[in-house]
Parts: sequence; structure tokens; C-alpha cells
Amino acid sequence: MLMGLLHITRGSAQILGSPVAVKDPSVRAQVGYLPGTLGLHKNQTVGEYLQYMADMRSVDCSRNIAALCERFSVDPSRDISSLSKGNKQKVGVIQAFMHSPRVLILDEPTSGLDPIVQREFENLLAESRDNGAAVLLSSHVMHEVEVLATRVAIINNGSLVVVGDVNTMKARTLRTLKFDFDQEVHASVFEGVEGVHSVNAAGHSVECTVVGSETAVLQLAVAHNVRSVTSHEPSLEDIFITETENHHAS
Amino acid sequence: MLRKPLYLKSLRDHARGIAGWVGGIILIVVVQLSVYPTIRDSAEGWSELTKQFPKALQEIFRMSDYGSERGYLSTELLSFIVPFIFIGLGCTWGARVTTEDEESGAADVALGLPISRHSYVATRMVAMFSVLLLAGVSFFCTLSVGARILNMSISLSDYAVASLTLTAVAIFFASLATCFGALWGKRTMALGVAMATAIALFILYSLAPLVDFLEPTTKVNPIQWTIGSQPLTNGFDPAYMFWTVALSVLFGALTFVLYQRRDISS
Repeated sequence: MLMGLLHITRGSAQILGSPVAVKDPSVRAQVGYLPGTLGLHKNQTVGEYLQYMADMRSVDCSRNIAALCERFSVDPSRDISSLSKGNKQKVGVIQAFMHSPRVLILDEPTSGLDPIVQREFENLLAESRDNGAAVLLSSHVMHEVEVLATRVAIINNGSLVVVGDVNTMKARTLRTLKFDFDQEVHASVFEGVEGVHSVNAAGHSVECTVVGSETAVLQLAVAHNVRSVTSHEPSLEDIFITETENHHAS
Repeated sequence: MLRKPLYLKSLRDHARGIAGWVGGIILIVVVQLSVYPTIRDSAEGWSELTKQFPKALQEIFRMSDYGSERGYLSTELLSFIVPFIFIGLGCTWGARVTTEDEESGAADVALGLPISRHSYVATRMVAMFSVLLLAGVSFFCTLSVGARILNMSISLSDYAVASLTLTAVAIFFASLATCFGALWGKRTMALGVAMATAIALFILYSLAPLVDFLEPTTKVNPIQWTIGSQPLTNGFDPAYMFWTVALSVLFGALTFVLYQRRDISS
């Protein structure tokens, strides 16, 4: 929809302050786009394809193309039809970044990339972000989103479930704190404390699930001579599951 | 509005196919011309022979005065095979104008570029017209040169009208196929329906002289407007050409509207 492939049936969308519309392609000059299912033109070498994309954008990207090909170890003289899925994905990444766009729309960008190339992609994305580019990245790989994204939107069955920064989402999600004490501590000590969701006590150990601020429960633990604290931070995957379950429940 | 890189790429991607189609057209013209001296040397005999053909066959292939230069060329080059090669070329190119990138999954990136759908379609249609024009010019050049070698007395302008007519029929069905492609987004479907339409219209055109109640359909049949006008024997028919071009323009305009309205699948 943002790229003008689908018509907007309700609401509106803007890129760089310009309304997104099928009829007006001008804003796309400043957008780099990598679709989820990448179809590359055949009967071309990588170099010819990238040069064609640059020509269609009416910009000289030859230096960027050369630099990105070298960075991702892509041979521009190879036929596209002979490339593996991972190498085709690299070409897709290069065509999205080569004109130094102000906005990047990337759908499953690391699909098919090996871990080393994924790391290189993350570095490239960070550089673009640091240079002022806005990045809209869609992914089912939660770890990738957690590493790359500052703001996350969770979509379930076509509905926007939640949107916000990762830290705020983590604070809203159940976390587990495990305390080891010098002496036996009853569960009732932590029950009813601000933020504590549930308590499980066994001998010298107490396990609390907490939502929001941990200050009160940590202060209480210190007051009972806590020996060690183990915190299990929720992953984005935990957040995704929690939020979508809450969404279904509501 | 037109984008040169897209235009060149559209042609380059199918260079072999273009060479094949054009080569086929040239080859058929050369073969048919090479047979003509034999026909000419026994023109009367051939004319008598063709007069003995069933009436239906003579009508279907519009065989009149087969032994003459114009009659021979009309029957052999402008009645069936060559027109259908032009129609096939037109349908093949027309069907892929809007569907090729979409079916290969490349439309996401192609239309994600700063190019409007109108510009995209217009550029690819111009590439298509270029190919059809190339086919027409190749036909004209081969026929003109071959006829000169064989000392035929038909003027260049008549060959030009014949070539223009073939190009027009190709453009007509190409526009129809383009329109179907924009409507459905499926190349094989657009190609199939456009070719089926061409065949149905040709059958109608062939049977019209034999079946009374079909006779009025010739007035609204694009096959009659083009190859049925028998340009080598009857000359240029501006009214028929007008309707052929007008309907082609209409289908072309519809293509823009339909493609603009459709969601592009990825």
C-alpha cells in the first residue's frame, strides 16, 4: 500500500509528508523498497540489473553499487538466474540501499541471508539510520526486530495490536525475578506488593512475576537480606505472545 | 512520460523472440515469392485450377485471379498464415505488457520505482508497437525487394498499404490482449482469450460469404476491416482503417484505466 501497489480502502498514509497514492510516484524516489518475495528480472547480470534500477531512478549510483557489491561479496558479472536465494536477496538489499534513500521499507530483509551477511546487513541498516533514514522493517524474526528496531508495531490477523518502543513494551510485559535468601521467606511477604503479579516460594527461593516497576519488590527483597537476584527479561517474542493473547482475549 | 531504460529493457529481454517472429515473417515471404515464378509461367493453368476449387474454399481464402501477381500475393501472403503470424505476435506482446512483471514477481520492485503506472504501461506499449512496426517494415522490405527481383509490376505504395494493413491487424489484437491483461493480470488468460477472439472473428469472416445471415457481420468484423479489405487488389480503405485504429485506441485507453484501478499482486 505504501508503495502504491494496493489501493488504500480506508484511512490514509504519508511518506515524508506526502500522501501515498497509486497515481503519484514522486515520493518513491526517496524510498528504498525490498519486498518480502523478491522477483528479479532474468536475462541480466547483477550489474546490468542494478544499473537498470539506477537508470530508472535517474540517479548515478555506480559508486554505491560497487561499494555495496564488494561489501556483500556479490559479483556484478554473474547472471541473476544463476544466483542462490541468499545471493538474490543480497541483490535485493543492494537495490534498496544503493540510492541512499531517506526512507527504507524492508519486508523480511534477512530472509535467506547467512548469519555473517545478516550481521553486515544490520551494520548497513544502522549506518542508514544514523545518517537520518527512517526504516520500516517487517519481520517474523523477533530477535532481528529486537536488535534493530526502536519502535515496534505488532500486527495480528491484519489488526494493529500494539505500537510503541521496545523498552516500554518490556515494562508492560510480565518478567520473572528469582530471589535467593539466607533464610526461608514466605510467599506472603511479596504478595500484594506493587507490580507483583504472582509469587512462588520454595525454601530459600522466591520467584515473582512482575509487571511495570520493579523498585518496590527489589526494596523488599533487600530488606529480607537477599543473596542473589536473577532476572529474566522478556524477549520480543514473549511480548508478541502476550500482546496477541491479550488481543484475542479482548 | 516514457522511460527509455524500461523501453530498451522490454525489447532487449525478448530480442531472441523478436528475431524469431520477424525472421519467420521474412522467411515465409521469401518462400512464397520464390514459388511465384513457377505460378507465373503457367498462370492460366493455375487460374483454371483454382477456379475448380470448391466455391467455399475460394471464398474462405478470397481466391480471385490466382495467376496474377496481385491475386497470388493476396492469397498466399494476406489471406491466412501471414496475418495470423502478425495476430499471434500482437497477442503475445499485448498479453505480456502489464502481466509479465507481475507474474514473475518483479512488479513489486518495478512499480516501487518512481514511475507511474501510466508511464509504465505507456512505455511498454510503445515497445510493443515498435516490435509490430518492425514486423510490418520487415514484411514491406522483403516483399518490395523480392518483388523487384521477380520484376513484379505492383507499386511500392501498394506493398506499403498491405504492410500497413497487417501491422494494423496486429496492433488491434495486441491492444485487445493488453486490455485483457490489465483486466485479469494473467498472461496466459489474456493471450488465450485474445487469440480465441481472433480465431472466432476469422471463422466468422470466412463463413460470411457462404452463409447469408452472417454476411452483415462483415461490416463490424475487424478481420474484414483489415485483411478482408484485400489491400493489394482493392487498395487502401480509409474507413476500415479508421475503425481499426479507433478500436485499438479505445482498447489501449481501457488498458490504462483498468491497470490503474487494479491492485498489483505480489
